[in-house]
Amino acid sequence: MEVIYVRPERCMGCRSCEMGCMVQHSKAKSLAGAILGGERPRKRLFVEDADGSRMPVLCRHCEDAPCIKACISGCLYKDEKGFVRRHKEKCIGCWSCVMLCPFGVITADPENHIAVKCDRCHKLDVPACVASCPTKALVLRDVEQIPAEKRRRLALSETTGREVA
Amino acid sequence: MHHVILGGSIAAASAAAAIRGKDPRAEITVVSPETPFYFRPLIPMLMDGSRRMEDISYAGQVKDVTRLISDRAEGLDTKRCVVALESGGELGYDRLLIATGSAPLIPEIPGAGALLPLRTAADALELRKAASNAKDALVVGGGLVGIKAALALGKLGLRVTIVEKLAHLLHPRLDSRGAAAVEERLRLYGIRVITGETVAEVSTGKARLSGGALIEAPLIAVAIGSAPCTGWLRGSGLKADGGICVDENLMAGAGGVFAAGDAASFTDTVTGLKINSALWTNAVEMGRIAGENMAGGKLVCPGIWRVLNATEICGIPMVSAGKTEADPGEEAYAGGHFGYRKLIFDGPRLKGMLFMGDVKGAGIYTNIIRNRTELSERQKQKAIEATLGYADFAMAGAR
Ligand SMILES: Cc1cc2nc3c(=O)[nH]c(=O)nc-3n(C[C@H](O)[C@H](O)[C@H](O)COP(=O)(O)OP(=O)(O)OC[C@H]3O[C@@H](n4cnc5c(N)ncnc54)[C@H](O)[C@@H]3O)c2cc1C
Ligand code: SF4
Ligand code: SF4
Repeated sequence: MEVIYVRPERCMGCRSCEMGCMVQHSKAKSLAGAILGGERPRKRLFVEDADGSRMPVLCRHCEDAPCIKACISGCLYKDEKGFVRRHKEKCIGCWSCVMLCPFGVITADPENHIAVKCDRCHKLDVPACVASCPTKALVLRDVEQIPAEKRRRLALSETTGREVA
Repeated sequence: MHHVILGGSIAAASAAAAIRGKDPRAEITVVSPETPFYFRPLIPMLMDGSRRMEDISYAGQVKDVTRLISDRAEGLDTKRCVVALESGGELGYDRLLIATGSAPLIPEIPGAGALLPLRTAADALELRKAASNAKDALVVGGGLVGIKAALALGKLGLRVTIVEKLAHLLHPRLDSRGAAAVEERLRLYGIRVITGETVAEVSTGKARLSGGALIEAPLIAVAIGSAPCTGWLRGSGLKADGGICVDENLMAGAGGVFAAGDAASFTDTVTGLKINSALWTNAVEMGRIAGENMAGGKLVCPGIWRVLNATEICGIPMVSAGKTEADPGEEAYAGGHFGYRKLIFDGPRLKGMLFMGDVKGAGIYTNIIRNRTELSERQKQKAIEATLGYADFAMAGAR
């Protein structure tokens, strides 16, 4: 299985990934077009600043996903590829998922009363954020290629939904 | 191995999935007196007509149950390992899960028979029917369920009054300041709120409040909380203190008997006090742990939550967790530029949080509370400034 692998040491904080994400998830498929068309495109990943170190934080598509367990309407589910996605029409905007995602990457769209999250660009070969990153701080990797120790940490954080230092 | 689960709601569904995950050949029987497997928190939408029963059902997703029996447990003999059923029969088990949930509390006042609770899908439809013949309604109880009921009645065109015995709405999920904001918003939506009072007496079409006022109320809904359904266990030898007492593996004393969800009581993660579980999230987690252990696992339940709520009321998104009022020795930081934010710390540990208006990143905070994470000075400062993110933990090791 391919995962989006984050290499924070390469991140310059340019936010190209956020931009790519917003564009991909707009109807117009361009930033100018979206804004002119009255859309308010929302990003699904967040470049955070930890006192000078930058890091894109994105959905892990957790194994035992806390957001799915929190959902009181059956909106969130795991698709056949293992991506955590929404049945949009079922969301009631209760924000239970926002309350329990340990990474803070599922957010409230208050205008449309719907939770917004990464869908792993399931229709694309390469997710928009990965394609947009000029320094390759975001890359697609087969889980098998990730060094064992990192994989252990990644798996731990993905399966437990807890942060791993 | 024959697993019997009493109750067909979320603790049951979660347990069934966990049992099946560990033992593909397990035989799983669920006993439920009502339509099983629907999203209980969505019944206010059944009431206001925005959802139908088939929209809120997840029965189609529950694939792990071998047999479903429409009946009610009436007694338990832990020596013979059998459950007595209301219909007269008996049901034997190897492992038993009590997931009978909770039932609404009804105040002991004259005329209480006229009060309509909101706990089941059937209750919601009953209220909907009653609303079609009424212009005014009184809702007794200003908690989450009472407010949802009031808003549903308002949506159906009724003039609604909420009466809450405590000094403010939504205790302990909100503090007084947060509750004041909700109260103001409810008034804007045409709902009258009376606090510090309750109903003293009900007679045809009218309710007398404890302060003496007489209110026109052909429809009176009651939502003053719920109590674990454990009455039928009298004489079984199982201990119940509010909810059924369980050990850290969620075992209820007798061999092979477990309890999970609203029917059980357990330790609050944050205060260490024994509480009744009354939350969806607790029921999911306890159900999973009990299910694993029924199938031979040894999972330990780390604790449950008294307060862990997210919702949106009249356009105000809100999340609260742990506690919303500081105890002696704890520090509270309250404020916020956009909406209202409150954090309660015991030294470097976060004990409680309340976000209203902007709920982004709430899960980072609930996770810190759950894990009893010791925050650095810098992390604590960023939490107070509302700039704390996941990167502040991920990068802490890297620097
Ligand atoms: C209107 C409303 C809104 C809510 N909103 C939220 C929310 O936003 N967030 C949240 O965390 N929680 C919410 N809750 C609480 C949440 O629904 C419960 O905590 C949760 O349903 C508990 O699940 P459970 O499986 O333990 O029991 P329940 O859902 O109570 O189900 C128990 C089942 O057992 C059956 N039963 C009872 N006695 C017997 C018996 N003797 N034999 C066999 N079966 C029996 C009952 O008929 C019932 O079907 C809400 C509740 C209500 C009513
Ligand atoms: S809990 Fe958060 S990180 Fe995990 S799948 Fe859900 S949204 Fe993604
Ligand atoms: S906001 Fe939507 S997706 Fe999130 S828990 Fe509520 S219903 Fe589910």
